[in-house]
This record gives sequence, structure tokens and C-alpha cells, in this order.
Amino acid sequence: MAKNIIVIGATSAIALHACRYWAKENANFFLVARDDLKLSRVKEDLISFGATRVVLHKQDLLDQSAHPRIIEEASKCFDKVDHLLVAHGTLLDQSQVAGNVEMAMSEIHANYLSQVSLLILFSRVFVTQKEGNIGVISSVAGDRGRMSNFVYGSAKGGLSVFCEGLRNYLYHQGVSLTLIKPGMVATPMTQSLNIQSPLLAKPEVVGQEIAKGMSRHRKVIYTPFYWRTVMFIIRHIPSFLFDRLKL
Amino acid sequence: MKTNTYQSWGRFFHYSHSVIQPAWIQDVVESLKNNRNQILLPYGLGRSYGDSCLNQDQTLMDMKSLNRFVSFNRETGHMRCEAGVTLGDILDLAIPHGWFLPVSPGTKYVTLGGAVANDVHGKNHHVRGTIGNHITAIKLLRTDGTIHDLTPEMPLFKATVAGLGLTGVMLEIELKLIKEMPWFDTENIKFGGLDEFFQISDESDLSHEYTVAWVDCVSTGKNLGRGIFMRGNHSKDPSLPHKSVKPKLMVPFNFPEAALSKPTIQVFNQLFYHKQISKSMVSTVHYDPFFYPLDKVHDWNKIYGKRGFFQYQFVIPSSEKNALREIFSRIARSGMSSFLAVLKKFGDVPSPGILSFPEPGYTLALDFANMGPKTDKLFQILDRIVDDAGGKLYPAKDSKMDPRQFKNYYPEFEDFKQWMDPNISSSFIRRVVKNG
Ligand SMILES: Cc1cc2nc3c(=O)[nH]c(=O)nc-3n(C[C@H](O)[C@H](O)[C@H](O)COP(=O)(O)OP(=O)(O)OC[C@H]3O[C@@H](n4cnc5c(N)ncnc54)[C@H](O)[C@@H]3O)c2cc1C
Ligand SMILES: NC(=O)c1ccc[n+]([C@@H]2O[C@H](COP(=O)([O-])OP(=O)(O)OC[C@H]3O[C@@H](n4cnc5c(N)ncnc54)[C@H](OP(=O)(O)O)[C@@H]3O)[C@@H](O)[C@H]2O)c1
Repeated sequence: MAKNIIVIGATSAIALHACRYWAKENANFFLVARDDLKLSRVKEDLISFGATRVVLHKQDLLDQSAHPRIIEEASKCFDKVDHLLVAHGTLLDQSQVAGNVEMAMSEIHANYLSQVSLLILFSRVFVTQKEGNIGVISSVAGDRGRMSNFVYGSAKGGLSVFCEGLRNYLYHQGVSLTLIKPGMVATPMTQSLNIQSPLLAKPEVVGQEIAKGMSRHRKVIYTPFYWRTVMFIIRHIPSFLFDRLKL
Repeated sequence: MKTNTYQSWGRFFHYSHSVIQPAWIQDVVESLKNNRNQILLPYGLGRSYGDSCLNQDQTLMDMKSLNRFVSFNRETGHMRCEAGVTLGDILDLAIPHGWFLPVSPGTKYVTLGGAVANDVHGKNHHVRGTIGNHITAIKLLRTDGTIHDLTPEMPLFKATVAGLGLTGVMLEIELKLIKEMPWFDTENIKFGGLDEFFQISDESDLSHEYTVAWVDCVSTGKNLGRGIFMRGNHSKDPSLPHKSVKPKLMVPFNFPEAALSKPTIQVFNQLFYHKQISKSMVSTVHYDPFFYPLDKVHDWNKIYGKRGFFQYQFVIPSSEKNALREIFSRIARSGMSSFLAVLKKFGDVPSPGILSFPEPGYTLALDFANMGPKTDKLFQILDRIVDDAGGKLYPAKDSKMDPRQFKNYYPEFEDFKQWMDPNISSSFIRRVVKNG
């Protein structure tokens, strides 16, 4: 049977590559993002890859009052959901965010508050069906605060802790949650940073690892895999040393 | 964004560019609107060797993130993609459904846009012509904001195929795939010299869709022009799997120059020739080692070190066999051995682009480490032989051609000029056309 998949922030480059993996298995999609031109490009791509049915829903996710409608429309489409992937996010320039309360709040809204609202609402759907898998894209940036991105990082850190708790709760309802922590990925989000690092991964690789991990109901995915080790080290650097570094 | 990280495959030119990196077609349209005065050039994956994909001190539009598919008809094999989709991406999607690329260059890490802009050819040129022969539609954006849906009979289509990116930004391209297996029944045949090559090549072109030869450029005397002829056909064995693959090795840093010294290359050439013990070897191979042996080592161009290297590729009419002999003996004598020398006879399928490179005759592609004036001198000698033979050089590979040569090789440029976009230019075209 073809899988039913809901993607929030479906115009994300990482999400697209995860979706291609499921499209090859002829999945059905309900895609949510704020730009309908981009959404229709994604739809054509997934159909090229073999998706059976793709339904689009245009919505700016910062508008919390519109969240219940997303759940309503998605439920009209599918009687059972196999995967929900929450992928949206923003990465504003930290040097500006650190000195600008408006921007900092917006960053926290886009990377934490909107996810909390959507996840609470969608959890009800999953609890009712007593099966399925939720994937949430957080980030390695949430594992330890660093000077280069701690506003974004704190939102992702909050999201990670929220997801750990939600996973614990959903476990008893037969539902799995996959917490996804990508490292640096070459997508529109990071383009302006002009990163020249061998650690910079391709969205193809990361997207595929995400889809595979979610299909296997993994609990936490560091992607690419080496970030698990990198972050283990970063988390264990003693503070007196850590503070001297410029990470 | 200003950066000097964009290079071409030869790593000889070190230019600084302003770079635009659109992720969506709407970003391309938008950025043209916002930057009316810039002189730009689309950039694919920089697999061109010289400066045809560079635009010194001007703007590059990096097309690689426009890599979405638009449609794929599994019944007819028509596939439409954004221009930054790579040939590798196309194979990954097409192969499981029984389809294959009609034409492929020696690497799958090129964008479809780049492949069309150079109207690339492969080992099956004598059967299928160039990639442009299989393109059914192009969506082209000019810098004045107009969008043109081009089909093969239109003059702007003929200018855009092999148009070196100078006619506008290709947004979407549609091609027709071929219904073939990703496996090849191949045969490698040793030949002792050019005469034997000419004979095997003519025979094989009648029986095999894919033909190409590797020639030893170091040996002189009785071994001059010896090599291995490789020929193949798509396998018809239905039990073979429809699968694609991924590469492994990497060259992460520049090699010290000594790694490519003459003795190393001599040993390489010897090994390559003698690796094959018997006169002929038959096997069934996957498309990856068959088409893309070099892709196994990512960034292999770095083995030439910081000074970079050149590729020299020409075509001369089939009647000019003596010129070919002369070229091989000049190269062997110069001691500036080429790591790779690939020889093939182009067929007579007409190329669709006004500026397409292929025409009937022998084409030879050679790599040369950059040894400054010594290399220049050798190229001057080779140029003269090519010119006298009525041949021409391939812009996708070129770093050295001058305006006189370009005019002589590409008289069609006079016709092409009218289709150029006034806000697009490249380092190549400025080099080879005065006031270009
Ligand atoms: C190992 C190797 C083997 C090769 N073998 C062959 C071979 O067998 N046969 C052959 O023909 N070539 C061969 N080539 C050359 C290569 O196929 C061409 O140079 C190809 O055009 C490179 O594509 P790219 O995507 O890297 O484009 P780039 O090199 O970045 O750009 C090439 C041209 O395309 C233009 N361009 C790119 N995208 C667009 C767009 N969207 N719209 C308009 N213009 C655009 C650029 O302006 C430029 O003029 C080989 C190259 C390598 C490195
Ligand atoms: N790239 C990395 O290095 C990296 C590393 C770790 C984690 N991540 C996370 O991975 C996820 C995907 O990012 P990506 O790298 O794929 O970048 P991306 O392509 O820029 O994707 C982010 C997507 O989120 C959407 N979005 C942002 N705010 C939105 C809003 N208010 N309403 C609707 N959609 C909104 C964007 O839509 P628009 O295009 O319309 O703006 C965009 O499609 C994000 O959660 C990101 O934080 C990325």
C-alpha cells in the first residue's frame, strides 16, 4: 500500500530529498509551505519520481491561528498518516539577531513555537490512529550553545527537548518520533554563509538518511552520521576551555 | 556574494566573481530584475576545462540548485528537468524504469544546461550525434526578462544549443531518453599503431554503438600510436538488474607537482597498455566504469597541483590521417606526455547547434600539465597542424585559442552573434572575439 505522508515546510531542500525517497515508493503527499510557486515545483518533481497523489496547502506557518486548518485539510486527504515530517525553519544572520529582539523572537517563532503548536495538534491525530511516525528536523546547533548561532541554536535545543518528551509520551500510544539533527547541509538556508568545509553535506544524502531513518522508526538521527561523534566531543569540552574557543 | 572559489576544471584560471545562487526559477527571474546592469554568465558544475564557464570580475549565476524534475513520461521516455539537474541525477531516475541517456560525455557530473550549452558528444557520436540531437524543448530566459519556449526548428534553439551560455539562461530542458539497458557488452582490442586503429575504427563503427580508443602518447618509433580500442553495445540480457551507483574515492588536496612527472606518466601508459595481456578482451560491464572511469576519483583534476592543466581537443577531417600521425609524433617527441589521449572518429550526424563542435573526422583529446612557455610552444605547433588540416578546437576544453583561430574555426559566429544576449558574456568569448 502506498504510504501517506504529510510534510510541513515542504519547499525545504532537505525535505524534498527525503520526499523523493518515498515518491519512488509511489507515496501520497500532503505538502504545506508558504510559497505556492515553489510548492508546485516540488509537486512536479515528486510526481516525476513516482508519487501517486500530491495535495498542496499554502500557509505561512508563523500564523498560529491557521494551524488547526492544516490538520483539518490533511485529515480530509488521508484516513491514516504514515509519516509527518516537520521541516520548516529559518537561519537569520546571528550577528544581527544577537542585537535585535524582534529578529530573535521571529527566529524562535520560526524554529520552535510554530513547531510546538503544530506538533501538539498533529499528536492528537496520531494518538487516535495509534500508529505512525513523526519526524522533526531539529539541528546539531541545539546540542550546545555556541557564539555563532545561539539564538537559532536555543530554539532548536528547545525543539529537541520538546521532541524527546513527546516521543516518550507517544511511545505509550504506539506512535514513534524521530528526532533529526542534521549538521551543515548545502541548502538555500546556508548558501549565503559560503561554507567551504569538507563537513558540508549534500541535501541528497541528508534527505535520504532522514527518509530511511523515519521508515525504520529510528529515535534520533544525526545526519550525516559523523555529526554524532563531532557533537559528542563538542558537548564534552569543559566550559573553561569552551569559552575561549570561537565556535 | 564576491568570491574566488569558482574555477573551471583545468584550475588554470584564478578569477574573482560576484556570484548569484538561485534556488528556484523565480529567484532567477527576480535577480535579473534587480540587477539590470550586471554582465552575467550561467555556471553549471564547472566541468569545462578552460574559461568558457568563467566571467572574470563579472557575475556568475550558479545553476546547480535548480535541480528539480518537471516531468518524466515513463511510456515515451520524454523527461523535462530544470537546467541544473545533472546527468547522474537523470540516470538515477531513468534507469530503474528501463531508460538511458542518449548521449553522455566522459563524466556524469555535468548539468544538463552545461551539456546543452556545449552540445556535448560521447562515444556513440557516429550513431546518435550530440546531446542537442535529443533535446526536444528548452525554456530560455533572456536578461530582458522575456521567456522563450524553444523547439528544435527555431533559430534561437539552434543558437542556444552549443551557445556557450551566451544566448540566455536555460531554465528547463526536455530530452528524449533511449530504451536501453545500463549494461554493456564490451570488447577491448589492442592495436599496434594508427593504421591498425583506422581499420578497427571503421569496422567497429558499423557493428558497435560505442567506440573510442585510448592512445599511448609517450612511445615513439614502432610503438607510435599504439593503444587500446574499446567498443560496446547496450546489453540485451534481460536478467541484468536496472541499477545505478555512487562513487567512492576523493582527491581532497592538490598533489605535489612531482606526482605527475614524466616517468610516472610513462609507467602509467605502460601499465595501461600491458594491463591487457591478450589481443582482445570481452566482458559485460556496468555503465559507470564504461562511461565514467574518471568519476571514480572525485576531483581528480587536483592531481595536477596548483598550476592547473590544459586539455587540448581538436577534430580534423577523416582524410587528414597524416596530420594525426604528425601530431602524435610531435607530442611524443616533445616529452610533454599527456596523461590521457582519447581518440574517436566522429560520424556524419549533423550537429544541431550553430556553434556545435563535432563534424565528421577524427577527434583527439589530450591532457597537458601546465609547464608555462613550454606548453604554449607545443600548442602552437599543434595548432598549426590542426589549422593546415582544416580542423578546429573545442571551446569547452580550450584555454589558449586566439581571435584569429576562433574566426577561422567558427565562421558561423557571424550568424550566431545576432542571438547573443547583450548582458551575458564570458571570459572565453572576450578572449576569442575582439570587442566580444
Ligand atoms: C572528465 C571529463 C570528461 C569530459 N568528457 C567529455 C566528452 O566526452 N564530450 C564532451 O563533449 N565534453 C566532455 N567534457 C566536457 C564537459 O562535458 C562540458 O564542458 C560540459 O559543458 C560541462 O558542463 P557543466 O555543467 O560543468 O557546465 P560548465 O562547465 O559550468 O558550463 C559550461 C557552459 O554551459 C553554460 N551553462 C551552464 N548552465 C547553463 C544554463 N542553465 N543556461 C545557459 N547556459 C548554461 C555556461 O555558461 C558555459 O558556457 C568532459 C569534462 C570532464 C571534466
Ligand atoms: N541546512 C543546514 O545546514 C541545516 C542544518 C541543520 C538543520 N537544518 C534544518 O533543516 C530544516 C530544513 O532546512 P533546509 O536546510 O532544507 O533549508 P531550506 O531549503 O531553506 O528550507 C527551509 C524551509 O522552511 C520554510 N519556511 C521557513 N519559514 C516558514 C514559514 N513561516 N512558513 C512556511 N514555511 C517556512 C522555507 O520556505 P521559503 O522558501 O518560502 O522561505 C523553506 O522552504 C530546517 O528546519 C533547518 O533548520 C538545516
